[in-house]
Amino acid sequence: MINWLVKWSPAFGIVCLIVGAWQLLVKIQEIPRWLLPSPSSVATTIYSDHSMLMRHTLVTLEEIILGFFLALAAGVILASAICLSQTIEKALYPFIIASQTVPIIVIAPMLLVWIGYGLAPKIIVVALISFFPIVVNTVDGMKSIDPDIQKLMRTLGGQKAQVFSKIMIPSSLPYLFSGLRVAIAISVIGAVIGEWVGSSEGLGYLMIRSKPQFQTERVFAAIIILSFIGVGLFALITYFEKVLVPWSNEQRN
Amino acid sequence: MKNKLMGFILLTVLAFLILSCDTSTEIVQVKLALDWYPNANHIGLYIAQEKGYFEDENLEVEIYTPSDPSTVLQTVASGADEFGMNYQPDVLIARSEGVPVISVLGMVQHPLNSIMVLQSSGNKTPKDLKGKKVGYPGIPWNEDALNTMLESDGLNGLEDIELVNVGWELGLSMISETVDAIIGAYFTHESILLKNEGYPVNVMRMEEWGVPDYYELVMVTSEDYLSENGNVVERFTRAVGKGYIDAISDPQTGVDILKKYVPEIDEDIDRPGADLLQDLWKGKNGRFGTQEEVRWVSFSNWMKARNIIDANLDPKAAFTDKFSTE
Repeated sequence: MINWLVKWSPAFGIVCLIVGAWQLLVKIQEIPRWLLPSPSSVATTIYSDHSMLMRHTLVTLEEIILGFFLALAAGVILASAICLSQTIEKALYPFIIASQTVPIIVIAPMLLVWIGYGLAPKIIVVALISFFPIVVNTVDGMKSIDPDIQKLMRTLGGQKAQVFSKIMIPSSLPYLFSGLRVAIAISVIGAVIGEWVGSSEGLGYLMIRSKPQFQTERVFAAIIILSFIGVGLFALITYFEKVLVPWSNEQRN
Repeated sequence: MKNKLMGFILLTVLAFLILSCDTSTEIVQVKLALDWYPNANHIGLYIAQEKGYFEDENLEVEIYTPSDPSTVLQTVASGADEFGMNYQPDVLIARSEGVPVISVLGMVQHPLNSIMVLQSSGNKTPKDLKGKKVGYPGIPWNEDALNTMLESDGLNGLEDIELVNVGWELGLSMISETVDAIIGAYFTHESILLKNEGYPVNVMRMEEWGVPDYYELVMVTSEDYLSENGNVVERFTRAVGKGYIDAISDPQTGVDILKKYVPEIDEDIDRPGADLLQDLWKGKNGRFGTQEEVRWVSFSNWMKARNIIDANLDPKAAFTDKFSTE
């Protein structure tokens, strides 16, 4: 625990510095709360509204996690297909890239109309946003293997499927995890966009509802919770990577 | 000789000072943030721009649509924008939260926000919505308005319907049959749009179903700006008033002008819309921009009764009627 605190002390230092400067700025400049609430008033809001915030946090967390797993499944399947067949690569890769130029903020409201206003459209928005780094990184990983090893294994009588499972998958895992870390960070944004355009619960909903009522403290409280979710999930993935792919670090080094 | 020169310099400086103090001859630049994308509601502003009414008052007005119109009251209160168009209910909510904005013109004299149902559904009054899904844009006080409308027609309020937050896809959510009715759309805009798409609607207007009559759109400035630049506010509102007096007498020419400034408008919506707005711009005794104390008080009483705003809020401080135009 102590080690951990020491390791991350620069981050804590920066947080303290920013929060301190922010508090001071609001106090000295007498900035009204509807323009920029002070960190202390945001903290008070987090404390006093914690049960309501918790309820909305769980909804958003559910959307993020379900969307993320959908992206993971879709991403790995697509990446495998792309690496196993050149035809599939040529057929799909351009569309996968093109999919990232579709402005999610335009598609999200339409998704709501097409498939209704429940959980599903939010999960799809999260998955749409986060599957891309997973696919790209996994494909890069699968293609990064030493061609000599591949040749050697084929010469020794290995099947294509064996090459895939014994070489391609293990060597692509570190790359997959890099993709997952990017994906989890942006999936938080995806969940908020999904809620922003139409929902009745979740932190994005809470923000869009609090904004026209000038409850800026609550908007900031939601933002802070979202960053904690992002950092927390990121750390969780890094932890899983260490446990599941212990060769990751040495390979990258 | 030296004294003469000094005298001359002093005189010149004095003359310069006197001239620069006369603010009415100096061109003042102001920004006006719109409540939404330019549409028929704004034609008086573009008429004032086109016909030089702002220029006549030595004003240079930049009309723009903020990327997020829900921030208009904040940018006006903070002084980033001198003027903004917004809604009477939101002005009261803002003031209740300590945002120092003040309404200087009642732009649209009645609510435009209303309940809409497809004519094909056969629903006509709020009680027909019992057990139905109603879509709304997630704006909290719209829930209260809907509740009051349902109650005024004999229902128990929101518990009798299912409320769905559909964001801004109001029209689409109804024609796709995701919801049976919508609230939060304007009967001078969305209803025309829906009719043009082949889905005529029935409109239930708020003030006909228990919600106190209010000013859908008002022109706001900040308390500070009004007290420090009352003269600019007076000139600005006079020019806006002239623009809308023209718009009332000839709305279609107003749409022509709007089209010139904002070619991407949909004329099929804004032309009929302007015709509907013609009467809604007319204030008491044929004036433009009037705001009546009794209406501010009764609407804020309704908001207080529903706990939307602070019970101690003084609605009389939220507006001034001294800038309406003959």
